[in-house]
Amino acid sequence: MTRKVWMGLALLAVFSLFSLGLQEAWAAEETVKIGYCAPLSGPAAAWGLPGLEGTSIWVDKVNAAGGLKVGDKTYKIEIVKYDDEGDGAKALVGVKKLVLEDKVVAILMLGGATTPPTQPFLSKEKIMCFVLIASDIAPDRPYLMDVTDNFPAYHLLHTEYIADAHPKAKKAAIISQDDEIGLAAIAWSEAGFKAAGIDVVYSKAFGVSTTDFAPIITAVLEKKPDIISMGASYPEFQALICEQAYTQGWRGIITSACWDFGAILAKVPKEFMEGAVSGFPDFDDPKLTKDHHDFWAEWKKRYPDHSFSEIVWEYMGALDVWAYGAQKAGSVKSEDVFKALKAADTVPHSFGPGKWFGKETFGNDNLLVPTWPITEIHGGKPAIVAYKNLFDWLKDAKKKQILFDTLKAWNIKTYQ
Amino acid sequence: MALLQLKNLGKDFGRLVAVNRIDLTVEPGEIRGLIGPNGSGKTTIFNLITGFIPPSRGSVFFQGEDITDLPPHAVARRGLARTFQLTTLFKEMTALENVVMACHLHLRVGLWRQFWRTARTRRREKAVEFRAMELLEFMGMAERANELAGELPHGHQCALGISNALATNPKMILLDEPVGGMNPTETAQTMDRIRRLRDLGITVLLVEHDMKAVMSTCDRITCINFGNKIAEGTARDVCSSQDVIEAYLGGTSGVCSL
Amino acid sequence: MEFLFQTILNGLMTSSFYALIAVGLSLVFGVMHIVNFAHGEFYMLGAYTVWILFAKLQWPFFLAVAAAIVLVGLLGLISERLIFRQAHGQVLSGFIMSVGLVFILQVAVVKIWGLGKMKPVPAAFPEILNLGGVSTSWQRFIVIPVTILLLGALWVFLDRFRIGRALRASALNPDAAALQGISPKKCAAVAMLLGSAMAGAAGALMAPIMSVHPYMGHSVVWTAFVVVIVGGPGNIKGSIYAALLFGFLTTVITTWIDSTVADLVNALVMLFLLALRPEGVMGHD
Repeated sequence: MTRKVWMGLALLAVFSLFSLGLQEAWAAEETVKIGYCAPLSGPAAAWGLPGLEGTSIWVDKVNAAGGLKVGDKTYKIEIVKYDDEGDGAKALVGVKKLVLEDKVVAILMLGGATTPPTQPFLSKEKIMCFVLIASDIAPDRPYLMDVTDNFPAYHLLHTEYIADAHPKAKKAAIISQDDEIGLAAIAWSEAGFKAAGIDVVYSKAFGVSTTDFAPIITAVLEKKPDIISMGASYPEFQALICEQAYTQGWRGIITSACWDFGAILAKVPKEFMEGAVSGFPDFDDPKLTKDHHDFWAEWKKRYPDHSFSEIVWEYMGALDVWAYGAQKAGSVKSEDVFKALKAADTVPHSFGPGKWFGKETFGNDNLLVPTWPITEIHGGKPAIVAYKNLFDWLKDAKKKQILFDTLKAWNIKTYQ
Repeated sequence: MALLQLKNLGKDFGRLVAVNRIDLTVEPGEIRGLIGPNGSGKTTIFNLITGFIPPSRGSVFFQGEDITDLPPHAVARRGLARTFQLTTLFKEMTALENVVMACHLHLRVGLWRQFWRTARTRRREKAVEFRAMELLEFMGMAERANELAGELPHGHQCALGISNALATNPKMILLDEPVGGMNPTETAQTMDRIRRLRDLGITVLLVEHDMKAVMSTCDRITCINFGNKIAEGTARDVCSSQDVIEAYLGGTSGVCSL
Repeated sequence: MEFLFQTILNGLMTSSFYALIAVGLSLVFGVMHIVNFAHGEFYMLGAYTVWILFAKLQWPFFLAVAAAIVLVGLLGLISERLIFRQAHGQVLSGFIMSVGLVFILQVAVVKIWGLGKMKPVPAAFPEILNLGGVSTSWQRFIVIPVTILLLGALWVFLDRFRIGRALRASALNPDAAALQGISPKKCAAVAMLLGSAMAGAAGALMAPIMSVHPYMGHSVVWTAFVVVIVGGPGNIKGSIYAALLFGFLTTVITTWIDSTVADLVNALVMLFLLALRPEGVMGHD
């Protein structure tokens, strides 16, 4: 009796293992993997971690609908994540693992410090890399594109808006950390302010290891700026910078590439941030579409106590563009998707149809540029106050010249 | 009852037998000399008694209590003080501060009294300073009380070491070469002070190379060589011992030139 | 003029912080001859205590700071018992043990509270303090008086209490202290308790001002070492002077040039002073 039971159980076990294996093999055929190699910890974690929220909502939605139809096949999507801690060496290990072991067809990355070490390998493997930092685009990085975030180009639009809206503001100070991202932000912001006729009274990078911002802000305030641009300061730096500016008694217009608003409001009152300018709306903004509002509702449901930032949707935005390219190409092969995307005249961006840009500034037309919203903080929440277009800005030859001169002054390579 | 008793005490450093099996009894009120050629194990015996190194065998009794395994500070607390050959002083402090510090560590004052300097505490602090000065005077150090300990000549450092040791109110004191580096006059004064210690009721065990000083001061003398006791008794007994004469031949000639 | 006063205020704040963190490290080195690399992790744990008790559980700020002082002090006591006692005063083994402790504490914190975004600690006293045209937040300002209070308490302890005096004696000459009946083990335990508690206090006070994350101790411990080395290891007064020197140096250079240059200059000044006076600015030997 017991022996029979045992045999039965053993058979059952073998069978279930077998069927599991089968199921996996069958599923593997129809699953396409996309790498997610970004800082999930460390000082830049706020620019990597929240992105998983958006991508998981996107993946769940696509998979729940049966998968993504590409040509005559339907694929389930799987995100394979890797924490590079914002560190170049760790990122290289990460992308090698993702490409060689996991066989991903595209990789989502933050960009910046992790781009130079990883690009030689990714270019050789012809794997598309979607970053959030346009200044990473370069002629020797053919498969690197930025299809969501228009950093640092949108600094031109923010500054132009500030000049329009605050004609009395005449002096600007710009600070950011002294890495690739921070320096690009300083250079483009400086160009923007100058082109808009605003004096740049202070523009300097601080060390990434800075922990105390009191002396830096003292030096900034000595120049009596009306505007302080935090450039692309890391989210944790932003909170400390705002705290110092506030406690040392400064009041004026703050602008930044982006915000981690939760962190900032832990340190300063809402009123201090009133009117602060950036380019990232919350997705419940009445000026946005129903798609945005639906996403917002789903996100709120899943992460009720998280604070919203553009990072939540930007990595997901790259997935949208990738899926658009794959469907157009009828294939998920990296090179096919890339060609299909580049061949398209306009590609849908989260903020509307976008066009390729970047040849003159980055050496490659791999930045997708839509008409970009400008936001102001009101009552602690960003609201869209204007829309601006980069192509319009560049139509003015004089402004364009200021841009290229300033980039040159900051030793940033251009391809004019 | 013996004040200090060593039973079968020994120490090996690896295969080297530094101290073999020493039996030694010191009676209260005695000045005992411990002599022997260089490297015969005298300082090792001091270190074994005061817990600075653990013995390989045997035991140490002080006032009938087994103190073999006690750490140095616990030995010191039981009233067995010592000085080092290389003096252990607080070199950054003046001579007076040294002794005051030493006295303070034995001052019993309640925690609150330590914090709120009550009149009583202040009176006691004054008393401590007075006592420290007394001890320095006793060792002939009074005029050098405000000099930094580290800058004193060697002889005075030895004297200060003894003052520090006396601050613990010991029943017995082990002195390691108390007159090393002193001129004949200073040596005579120091030996005189050591005799006065005995008069104050403090038992003394001293290691010294200056045979004249040892012979003239000590009540009894123990001589060791290669970690073994080779003679014990009055100065005269030890001097006449054939073993002692042989041990010192080739070393300091004429051990007992009395 | 305002600029100058603001810089002095910034410098005082930074110096207070440096002094608080360095004095504990110096005390531990002086008494135990342990170069405690984990001092930075004790600092980090002080900040975490405030994050949990004040930011998450809504305790009053100073109660959370007091709890951090006690908890981190006790942790120091435990680590002396379990780890540093085995070093027997050997500087190299103590150092290696402390590096091991760094990893243990970091991994433990990452495992329990995760990496991810840094822990937000809101300001307990966000009100602005105006001092004749110069302003700062109360949150920052309190670092100065609290540091003076804690260092004053330490001084009273070392100067008036028997155990404090024993600690000083043991730091000056452990053998001589043992001859006076002072237990080196007891001194080591008390030094570790106090030194760690100071690190915990520093972390707790800085939590609302700096970023709280598992690796925050790293940069701090380096600064603390520079201060302790220049002040003369084991020399508490020297550490305070060195903290003032480097606090103002860092502040002034960061204001006029930038923070990277400030780090560089700090290291150069340390090397220069070390070459000039190997036993530290105070001439301790």
